[in-house]
Amino acid sequence: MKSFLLLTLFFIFIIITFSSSNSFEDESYSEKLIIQPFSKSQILFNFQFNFEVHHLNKYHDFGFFPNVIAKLMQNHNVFQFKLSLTQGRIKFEECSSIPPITAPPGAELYATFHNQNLIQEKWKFFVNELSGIFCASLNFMDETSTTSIKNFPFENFMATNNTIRSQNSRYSALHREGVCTENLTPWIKLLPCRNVHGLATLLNSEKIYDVDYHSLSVSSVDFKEKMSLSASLVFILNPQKILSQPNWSFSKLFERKLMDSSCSLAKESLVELYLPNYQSEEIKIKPEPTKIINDLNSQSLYLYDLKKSEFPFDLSVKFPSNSENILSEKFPLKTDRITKNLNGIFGVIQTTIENVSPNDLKFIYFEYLPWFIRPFIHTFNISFSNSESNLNMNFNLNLNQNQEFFEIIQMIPNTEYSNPFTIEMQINLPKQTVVTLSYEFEKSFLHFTEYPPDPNHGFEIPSALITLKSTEIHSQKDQQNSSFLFKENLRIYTEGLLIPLPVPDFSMPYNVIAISSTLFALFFGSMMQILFKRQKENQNQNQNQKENENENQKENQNQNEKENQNQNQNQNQNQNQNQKENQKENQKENQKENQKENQNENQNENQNQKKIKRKSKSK
Amino acid sequence: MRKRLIAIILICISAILVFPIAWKMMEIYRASFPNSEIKKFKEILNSTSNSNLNQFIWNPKIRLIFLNLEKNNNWNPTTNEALKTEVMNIIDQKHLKNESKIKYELSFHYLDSKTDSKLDSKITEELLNNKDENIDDILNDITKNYIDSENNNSSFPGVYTLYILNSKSFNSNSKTDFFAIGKYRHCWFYLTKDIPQIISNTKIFIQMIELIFATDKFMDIPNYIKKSTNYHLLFTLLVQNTEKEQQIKWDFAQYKRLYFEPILDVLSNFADFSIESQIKYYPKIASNLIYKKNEKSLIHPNHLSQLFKPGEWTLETFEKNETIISFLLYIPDKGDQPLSIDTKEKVDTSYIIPGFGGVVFYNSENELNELNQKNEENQLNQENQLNQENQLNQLNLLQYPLLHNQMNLFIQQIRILLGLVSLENFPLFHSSNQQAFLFYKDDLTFSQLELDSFLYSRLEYNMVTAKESLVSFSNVVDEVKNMIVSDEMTSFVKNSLESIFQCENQIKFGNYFQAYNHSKNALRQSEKALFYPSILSSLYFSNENQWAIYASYFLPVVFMLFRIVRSQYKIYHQKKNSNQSN
Repeated sequence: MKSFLLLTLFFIFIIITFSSSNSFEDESYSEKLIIQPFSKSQILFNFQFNFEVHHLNKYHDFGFFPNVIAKLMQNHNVFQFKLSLTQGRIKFEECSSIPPITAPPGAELYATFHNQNLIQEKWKFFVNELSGIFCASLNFMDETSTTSIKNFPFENFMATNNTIRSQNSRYSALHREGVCTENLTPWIKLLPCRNVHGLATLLNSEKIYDVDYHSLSVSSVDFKEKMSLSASLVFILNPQKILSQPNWSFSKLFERKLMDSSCSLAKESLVELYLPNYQSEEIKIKPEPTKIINDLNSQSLYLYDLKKSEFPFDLSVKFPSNSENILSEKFPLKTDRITKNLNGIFGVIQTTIENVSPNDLKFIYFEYLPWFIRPFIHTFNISFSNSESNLNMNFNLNLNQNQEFFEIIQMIPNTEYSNPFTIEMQINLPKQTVVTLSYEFEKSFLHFTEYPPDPNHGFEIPSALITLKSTEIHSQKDQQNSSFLFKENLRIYTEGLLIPLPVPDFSMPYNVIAISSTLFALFFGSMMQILFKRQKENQNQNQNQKENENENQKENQNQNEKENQNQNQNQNQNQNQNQKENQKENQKENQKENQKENQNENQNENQNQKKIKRKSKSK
Repeated sequence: MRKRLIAIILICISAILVFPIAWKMMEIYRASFPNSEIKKFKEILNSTSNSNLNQFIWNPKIRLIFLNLEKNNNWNPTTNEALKTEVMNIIDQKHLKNESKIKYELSFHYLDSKTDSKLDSKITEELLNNKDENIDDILNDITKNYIDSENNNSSFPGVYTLYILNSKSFNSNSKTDFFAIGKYRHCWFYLTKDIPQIISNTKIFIQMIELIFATDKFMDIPNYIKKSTNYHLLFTLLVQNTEKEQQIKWDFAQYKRLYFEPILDVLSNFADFSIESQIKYYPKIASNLIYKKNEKSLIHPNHLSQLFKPGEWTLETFEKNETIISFLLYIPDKGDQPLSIDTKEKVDTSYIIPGFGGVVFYNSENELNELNQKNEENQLNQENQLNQENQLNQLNLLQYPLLHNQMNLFIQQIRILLGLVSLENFPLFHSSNQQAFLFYKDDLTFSQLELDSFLYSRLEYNMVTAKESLVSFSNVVDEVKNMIVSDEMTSFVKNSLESIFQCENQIKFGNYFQAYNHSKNALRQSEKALFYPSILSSLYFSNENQWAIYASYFLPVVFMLFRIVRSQYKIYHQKKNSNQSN
C-alpha cells in the first residue's frame, strides 16, 4: 500500500515536472557579424541578432525574448513589422557586392496585421508605442503619410509569402528623420547580453555614427505558435578615410575588442569575414579563423566561432601595399529621380531607371507622394528607349491596357488631408534599356499652421522603392564577360526629393494685429479727442476767459499808450524824413547844377582845344 | 458738445448690444449632472472632522451553537436566560460604543446527536476522536449541511458562528484549553469551565468580529501600493552575471501554477489580476553600493533603486489603466554573495519598496556550496556524479522546488502590498489575557475571516474614494467655468451614483459580494469622470491667462472712459451750481 502510494506520488511528480510548459527551452538566440567588401574602398559591417521562441505560454512568461516587442505585437494584432532608422544612402551603381539589408534614409516602417478590423486605429497606437520604445519621432506617420503596399520583401529569417496578407499592410516613410545614439541605446537594451558580453560590446556609438552609412533595423514575425525577432545594424565605412590606411582591426575601428567571452546566452556567436579570392593569399589575418571556405562567388569566407575562440578577440586584417577592392561585379540598375520645371505651383517628377546588364530584368516600382503633392494622372508618361535596338516607346497610363513592358498593380489617388497618392507597378525592362517615368504635379497651399518651423526648406518626399524580382539571361557570353549582381527581392531605394511648397506670408498675423491695433487706437484716440481733449480745451477756455478779459483790458490800455507814443514818434519821424528829403532834393539840385557847370566847362575847353588845333594846323 | 453726446451714446449702444451677443457666442457647453446628490457628500465632508462619507450600517449575524455529543448529558445552556441576557448586554454595549455603525443580530442554537438525527454518526465519531486537523472542516460541513440549510442562510460574509463544544465528550488527554479560529467563518472552543467561560469567549469572538468590520482602527497598515480594481503583477528574474556556458533561467510557469494562481483565483473576487514574468541580465549597478560587514555583503535599501530603474529596462508599456506591482528576484554576482539588505532592525534578503513592489535576493552560491559539501561527505561514484550534474542543472534552471522559500516570500509581500492582514497580527490576540489562541490556516491560502476583513476594507475604500472623486469632480466643474462638461462625463457620474446607491442597498440586506461589485463599478466610473482627458485641454487657456491678455488691451481704454465720465460729471455739477447761484 505504502509502496503503491510512493510510486503514484513519484509518477505525479514526474508528470508535473515534465508537463510544465518549459517555455524557456524553446527559446533561442544567436548573433552574427558579417564583414564584406562593399565598394572600392568601403567595407560593410552587418551585426545580426536573431531571437526565436516556440510555444509561448500566451506571451506571459518570457525568457530573454524582449517582452516589450512581443506584447506590442500581441496588443495590436500585428503579424509582422519592420522598422529601420537610416542615415545615408547606398549608391548602388558604385557598389560591388549586394548589401544584406537596405533601407531608405530616415525612418521606414512596414507592418501587416492579422485582420482588417480597425486597422487605422491599431496602426496609430502601434506607431506611437514603437516611437516611445525606440525614441524616434514616428508619431508623424499618421494617416496622411501612410499607405498600403502589396509587395514588400521581408528579410526576416522566418519571412513567408507576403502576398497573402498584403491587403492588411501599412507602409510609411519619414525621409527627414534623424538617427542618433538615443535610438541605439533602446535597441541595445533588447539584447539579452546587452553591450556587456558578445558582439554588441563592439558597438561604440561615437564610431558608428561617424561613418558613411548606417542603418538600424528591427523586424519581427508572429505566427501565434512561434515568434521571431531580428535586430540588425549595418554600417559602411572607409578605413582609408578613418585610419588613413587600408589595414584595420576592431580596436582601431571601434576602439574596442571582445574582452571576456561571447554571450553565454547565445546558441551561436559567429564572425564571418569575406575577402576577394585573388587577394586572400597576400592578406594577413589575425587570429586564425576556425574555418576557411573558398570559391564562394570569387570570394573566400573566414569563419570565426566565438564559442571556441580565445579572448580577448581582436580581428585584424593587413592588406599588401597598393591593393584595392577591384571587384568585377556591378549592379544591373542605375536609378535617378529628379524634379524639374519647378515653379510656384506646378512641377514634374521624373524617375529614370537604366538596365546596364545584358539580361532582361523584372522589378516592381513603388512610389508614394504626400497628399499635398497632387499629380496629374493624365500626364503620366512611361517611355522605354534603347539606343542599340532603336527602341523608343511612350505609354500613357491606361489601366485597361495590358502592356508587355509594364503592369499596374495598384494606384491609389490622393485625398486631401487623408491618404497619399500611391502607385505600384511591375516593369519588365529589357537589357540595355532606359525607362523614364514622369508626371506633372500641382502643389497644394497648406494652412499656415501646417508648415514646419523652417517652411522655406521645403518638404521631403520619400524615396521610391524598386524591388528586383527576376532576371532573364540572354547569352552566357555576355554574362561571363561582366558579371552583374542580382538577388531576388533586393530593395533598391532612389533619392528622396525636396519640393518647396508655396509659402504664405507668415508676417500676416503680425500685420493683422498691427492694423487692428492701429484701428482700435485710432477709434479710441478719436473718441478720446472728442470726449476728453476737446472738453479739456473748453474747460481751459472757460477758466481762461476771465483771465483773458482782464488781460485784454490791460492790453488795451497799454495799446493806447503805445499808440500815442507811436504817433508822436511818427510825427517826429515824418518831420525828420521831410527834412531829409528836402536836403536830398537840394543836394540833387546842386549836383545837377554842378554837373551842368562842369559840362559847360568841358564844352568850353573842347572848343578852345579845337581852336588851338585849328590854329596849329593853320600854321 | 453734440459730438460728445453722440460718442457716449454710441459706446452705450455697443455695450448693450455687442457684449451680450459675444458672451452668448462664447458660451461653453455644460451638460447637466446630478450635482445636488453630490452636494450632500460635500456637506458631509465639510461638516465632520473624520470626513466619514460612509453612512451605511454593517449587520453581522452571529450564531452561538452549542454542540452536545454526550449521550447521557442533556444540559442545554441556550435555555439559560441569564446567559442570554449577559450575551445581549455585551452586544448592547457594543452598539452604544460603535454609534450604531455595526448592528449585531444574535441567535442561539443547540445541536444534539440524540434529538437531531441528522447528525451523522461518522461526524460525531470524528469529533469524539478529536482529530484536531479535521475539526475545522467537520464544523464547516455541519454549518453548511445542517445550520444553513435549515435557516436558508448561506455561508456568506456577514454570518459568523461560534461553536461551543462540550469537552466532556472528548478524551481527557487531549488539549482543549484554547480558543480556535478556523479557516472558515467560525471559531470554537471546548467548554471546560461552565458559563463564565462562555461569556468571556463570546466577548472575544464579538471583539474579533468588530475588528474585522472596523477596518480603519485595528492596525496601521501603510499604503504601499495604490488601491485599485486592476492589478498587473510582473515577476522579473534579474541575473547580475551569467558565466560561460552557465545560463541561469527559471521555469516561472510552474511556480505560477503552484504558488500564485491559487491565491489570485481567490482574490479575483476583489480585483482583476494579470501576471507576467521576464528575465533580465547584466543590470548596471555601481560596485561601491555593496559593502562588506562581518564577512557579509550588504546593500542599503536606499540603493535598491539602482536595480530597477524603469527607464533603463522599458519594463512596461503603461497602456492600460492598472496598478503595476513588480517583484524582483535578484541573483547577485558570485563575488558579492551572500548579499543581504541592511535595514536598521535586521539584515534580510527581502524588502518591500513602496510604490514599486518587492525585492528578494537569491544567493545561489549557498545552494552550490551545500551541494558540494554533501558530495564531499559521500563517496563520489558514477551515479552520484550524474546526480550532481543533474542538481547543478537544476540550480541553473531554478526549477521547482528550488525557489520555494523565495516564492513564499513573494506571497507574503503580495499580502502586505495589497493590505491583506493576517489574523495573527490583530492586537486582540496579543493581549495578556493568558488565553491561548490556535489558528488553523494554510501558508499559501487565506482564511475566510481574512478575506472578509479585506472585503469590508476595500468596500469602504471604494465607496469613500468614489464619493470623494465625485466631490472633486463637482468642485472642478464649479471652479473652472470654461470647462466643457460633455454628455459622456455626466453619464459616468450618473452610473457612479447609481452604483453607490445600489451598493448601499445591498449592504442593508447583507449581500456584501454584490455590494462590493457595485462599489468597484462606482469607483471605476467616478475615476473615469474625474480623469476625463478633455479636462486638461480646457485648463490650458485658463481664466487668468485670458485676463492677462485682454487686460493690457482694454484696461487703459476703460480707465480713460472712467476719467471722461468723471470729468463730464464734474462739468455737469459745476453748471448746476452756477445755474443755482445765478
